Amino acid sequence: MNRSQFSFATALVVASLVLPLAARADDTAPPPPPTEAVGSSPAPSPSPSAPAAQTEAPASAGAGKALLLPDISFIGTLLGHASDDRRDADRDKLTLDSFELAFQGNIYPGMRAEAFVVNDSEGTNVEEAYVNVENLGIKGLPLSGTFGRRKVPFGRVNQLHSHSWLYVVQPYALSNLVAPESLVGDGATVSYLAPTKQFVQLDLGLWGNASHDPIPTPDPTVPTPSTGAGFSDRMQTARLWSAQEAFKGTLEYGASYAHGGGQTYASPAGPNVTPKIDLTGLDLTFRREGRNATRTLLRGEVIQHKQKDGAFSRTSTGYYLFADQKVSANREYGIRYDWSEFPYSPGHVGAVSLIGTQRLTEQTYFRLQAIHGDRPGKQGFNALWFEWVWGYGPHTHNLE
Amino acid sequence: MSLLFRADEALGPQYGRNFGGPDSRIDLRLETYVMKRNVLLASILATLGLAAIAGPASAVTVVTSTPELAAIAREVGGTKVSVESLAKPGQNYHQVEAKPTDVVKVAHADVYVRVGMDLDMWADSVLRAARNPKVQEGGPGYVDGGRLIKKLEIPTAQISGASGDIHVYGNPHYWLDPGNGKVIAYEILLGLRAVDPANGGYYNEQYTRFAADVDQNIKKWEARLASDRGKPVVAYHDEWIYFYTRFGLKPFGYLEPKPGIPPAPSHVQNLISSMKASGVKTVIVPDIYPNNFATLIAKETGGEVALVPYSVGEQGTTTYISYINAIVESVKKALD
Repeated sequence: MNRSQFSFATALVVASLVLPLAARADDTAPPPPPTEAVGSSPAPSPSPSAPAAQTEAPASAGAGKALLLPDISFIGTLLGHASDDRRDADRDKLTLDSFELAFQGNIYPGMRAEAFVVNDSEGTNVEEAYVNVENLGIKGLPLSGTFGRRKVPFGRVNQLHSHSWLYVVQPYALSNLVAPESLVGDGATVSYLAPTKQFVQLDLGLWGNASHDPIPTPDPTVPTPSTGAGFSDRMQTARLWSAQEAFKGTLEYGASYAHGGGQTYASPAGPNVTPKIDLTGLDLTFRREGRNATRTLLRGEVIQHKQKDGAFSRTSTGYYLFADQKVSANREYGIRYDWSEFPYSPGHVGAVSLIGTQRLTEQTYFRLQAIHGDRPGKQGFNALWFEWVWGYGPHTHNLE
Repeated sequence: MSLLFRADEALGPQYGRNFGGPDSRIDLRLETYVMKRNVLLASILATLGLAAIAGPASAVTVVTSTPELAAIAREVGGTKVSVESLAKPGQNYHQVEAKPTDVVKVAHADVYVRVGMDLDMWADSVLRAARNPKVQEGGPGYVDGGRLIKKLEIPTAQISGASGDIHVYGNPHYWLDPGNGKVIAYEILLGLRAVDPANGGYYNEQYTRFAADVDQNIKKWEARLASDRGKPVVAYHDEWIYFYTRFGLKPFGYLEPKPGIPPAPSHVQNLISSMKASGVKTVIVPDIYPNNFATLIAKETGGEVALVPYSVGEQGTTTYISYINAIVESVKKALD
């Protein structure tokens, strides 16, 4: 290497070291904050006509938030029900359906604990209690996880609490084939948010104690008849869902799968049997928001319940179509069509519902749902439901 | 194979709102499949295929809760940033529904700018679902526009549902004082410098230019409303205290009897009576709210309605300064 080659190489090395450093950081300091900011200077003198209630907050103003307290909230639900189906034991009654006490808060950076204790006709129970870990820290993958008891990620609305529903009576396809209210389990989920411009999320769950109030039968030789999927203990779930902006709104679509053992029972043909249950769901939602707080929502879900390896095999299906129009910040109307078979009994139910909601606040509202349809043993039944939900305190849920 | 069993003896809990009506003695039979499992597989493949089309981003990505914050972020970020607001112009910021499509925007954001003060609580669920450590609270790209604001109307007594939609940290509509527009810009400047230090000097220049522009316009707007200082005005919702304080106007009342509670005829009638008695004639109504009561009030009192833009992006406004300017001009016209 001659002298000129050496100098050139040296220059290249120096440049390669210096230039990235120069580009990495701009050493200019930020300008001072504007005089209007807290801490920069005394507050401007209010005008003589300014209201007396004005106060200046310190930067750390927290209204008690500085205390190590979770968000505590209460939600009560009053239900009224009229029906021309004389078999319905709850008809023509006004009852306190439930009240829910919620505790929510961060327990560690990136970890949030939520607990919902519910008292209803079956007593007091922990409806959900879990810890959500925002980042599992596995090889830099965008993985989050939840651990504890929770409503499992199956279908579009299973994880919603009933006070977040847009109806009083949930779709029959869900109550008949999935769970009377929500499919709940004790276990863990791992959630993967794909690093793409389009929302794609995969939720995988492993659950034990995935029962949902099986209805006892006096005859031990038959499977326990119940509404809902009938999972008895262990269960695996998977949900893949996606969303994109389309037609000046948002289109969401998802596919869900759950697999597990059913209720064990004595088979007439031999020893006890435990059926295997497969639950599959497809859902589609379109949402378009308008001025102020108006919003149009169209939603449909199809559910298939399949049981095998028990004393019999059976496949049951159901679906619903739902349209909801929020006409103002306080009022919305909906219409829904339901059709569903039953996993443990024959026949089907088909019904049309009209729903109206008047909101007082985000957590307090009145709702009416009128239902007309056919079901086994009662053709052309009519039912009217009234719901009054009232809430108090900071109460948040994940996405609707 | 078929199996007989009685279900009617155990039907009690199936009544209530989960009652679907299964009947008694029955015969279960194998039924045909309606959906195949490969439907699930096909949807997985289709979803992943669509997702793979997405392309990479280049500029610093800023996501904001509201269009006003987005407009200010554009001023500070200039050509180095791409900015998007989750709430759209004309959408009530108290009642935005968080959507999965919002999650993915925040998941890819370098900076997230929120109003704070419990106005955009819906942003919390989006931030959590996005699991982007850069923009979580405490992260370099997390910007709370209200952090350094000199807050007004902080409740000094116990509040409850009877108080209406009262925010415990104070009135959160601070961006309606253009002086606070500079404070928001300063917060955004700090956020941009934290995630993109290489362009710190550029952001400084952009911020300084914007702050000077605002200061110059504040003088103009204050001069425009100087003759109206001390005049009482009525508004639809209690969101104008920062604007009033800046320009020396006096709140007289609101069409909503309590914040967030819709106007009632009796309340409006009382308001009209007291306005007549006090000679108040101006009503400020952002253009997303129904203006039938405001029009009635103006007719009864012989006054004017200032129909102002609720958001940047409405009534021809494209920037924060044009937005404040449109409000000032509309209020001025109504006051005169």
